[in-house]
Amino acid sequence: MRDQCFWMLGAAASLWEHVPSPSQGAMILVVERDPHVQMLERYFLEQAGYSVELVDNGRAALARARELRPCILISEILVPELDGLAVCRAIKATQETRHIAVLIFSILSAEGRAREAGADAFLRKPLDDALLIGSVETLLHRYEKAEEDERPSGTR
Amino acid sequence: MERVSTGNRQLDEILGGGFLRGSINVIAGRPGAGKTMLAEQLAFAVVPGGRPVLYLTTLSEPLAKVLTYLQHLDFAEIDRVGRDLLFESLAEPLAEGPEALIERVRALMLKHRPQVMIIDSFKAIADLMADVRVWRRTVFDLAATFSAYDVTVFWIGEYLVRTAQGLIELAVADGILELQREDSGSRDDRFLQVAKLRGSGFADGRHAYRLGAAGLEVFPRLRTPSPPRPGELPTERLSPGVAGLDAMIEGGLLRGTSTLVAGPSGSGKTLIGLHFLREGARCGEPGLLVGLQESPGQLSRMVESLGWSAGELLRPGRIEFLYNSPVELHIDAIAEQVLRRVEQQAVRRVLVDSLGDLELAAGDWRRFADYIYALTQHFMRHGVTAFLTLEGNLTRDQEVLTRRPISQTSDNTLLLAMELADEELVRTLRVIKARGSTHEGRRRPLRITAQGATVV
Repeated sequence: MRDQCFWMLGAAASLWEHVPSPSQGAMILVVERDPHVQMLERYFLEQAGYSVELVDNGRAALARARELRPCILISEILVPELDGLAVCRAIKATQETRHIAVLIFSILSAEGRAREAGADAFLRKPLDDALLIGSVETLLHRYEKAEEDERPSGTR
Repeated sequence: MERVSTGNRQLDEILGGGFLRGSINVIAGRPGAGKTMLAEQLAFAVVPGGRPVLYLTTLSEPLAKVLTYLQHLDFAEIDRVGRDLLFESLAEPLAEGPEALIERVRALMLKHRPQVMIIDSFKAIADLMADVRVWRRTVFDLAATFSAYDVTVFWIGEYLVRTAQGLIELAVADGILELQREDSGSRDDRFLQVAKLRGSGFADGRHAYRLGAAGLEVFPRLRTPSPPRPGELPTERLSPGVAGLDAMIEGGLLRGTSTLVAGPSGSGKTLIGLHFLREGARCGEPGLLVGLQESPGQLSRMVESLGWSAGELLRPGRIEFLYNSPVELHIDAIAEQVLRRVEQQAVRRVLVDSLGDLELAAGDWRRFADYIYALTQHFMRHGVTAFLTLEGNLTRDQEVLTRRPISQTSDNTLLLAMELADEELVRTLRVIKARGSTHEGRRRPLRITAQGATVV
């Protein structure tokens, strides 16, 4: 595994341990100001079967996250108005959005800061589509499992 | 940071390990410099089975031509074309304009998801753009697209870096490698030079290379090794193999030292050098004769005339003959061949015959002085004892000799001379320098007979 990636969801988590088929249409909110990166993220995520919403600043990201309740939020740190780490902290501090898995995807080498902000995963730019999709799949798998675990017993 | 290999170990070393992964690089040079060959070598160096290499040709390098010539190269594993190495042409979108070009490049990148992308020739695209502002925007747009994705990019072009500093593609690039070709009379000299490598150190200066079916063969500029610590210097003395000479230099030469043997043509320089190597072979010290004058045939004849068996003596492990024609030689290529033998074949005695030819090949005397210094320091680090011959009528001109940088570099200097006395040719030898040794400075007769050389 490349050193630009770490996981905080479970000690032995590996990108390649679980390759679940993507939940068709699962919503991903992408926070990115660079149109070239936006284009790549939209392309690869949609190719993999996800539904993608794009915003280019942190304040819009928070508003859209509350509105859309995506499964995953992917954010650059360097975005206008509210940086990606502040977005992450706000999401994790709010009851109604804390379930959203946050992937910090940044040009900065900021694994530690992302971890402190409560991010579920970190990837360093530039975009490697296999790593991005692998990370999203693993996050999604854990998201679904957490949802299942939270359901009252007998409702399965 | 991770690196992308060029497919050439020496070039990777020059680049500090290779090009940086995810960077945009320009490979510049005149027509025929080997830009396309280097790009192809680099493409095949990518590990099979991963994301592919995407090779985009433009107008100056039609796809059919590139593929035709590619098949003549040793490193081209043609079976990998179509799997690990994908070729596409940009000729059509290029005719439509910059927007179509950018769209096509982007679409190909998304479709093939390459780890390496080569555009050959990138300059041909620039040449078609009538408006410089449109070209600048195109370059920025392409650079931004490439920077967003995990792809290492090479733009090939006929740029002359020195005169093209203002060009947008060179400003945007993270790395620039220039292949230079110089016509120096009878020879075609090729050098490569790293002009820029953001985020990495590299070996500066010009490094010689040559082209062949195996690709680029690169000879990194010889650099001076770190000096030995005082305790590391050998104190063992070796016989130079010429009867009577040991006694003139405190019982022999110190191991690891270099001895300049200077004198006019016919004074016995090569002969003394051969004695030195033969003595090494006798003591189990493999020798190397770096010959720039005598051909293998002439050398054999010389050895046989001394009553020695050329077949017995002139072979690797005893005395290996490394012959380089002065018209084809490059000093860094010679150093590479010599030091490779020192490291891999435990060569312990070296005779360079002669320095004058090397000096001519170097062109620039400062570079030559640095080179000889570096070479002799490498010898010292490896415990290699060397004889270096230098031709010139120096009997009355010792001042000139001692002021030459080459003389300052050597540890010992033997001065040979010839004069006529009563119609008889008399050869003499004098030790004018022996660093770290007491020595006799008196001029002594040097007798050369059918049995070899003797100092009397």
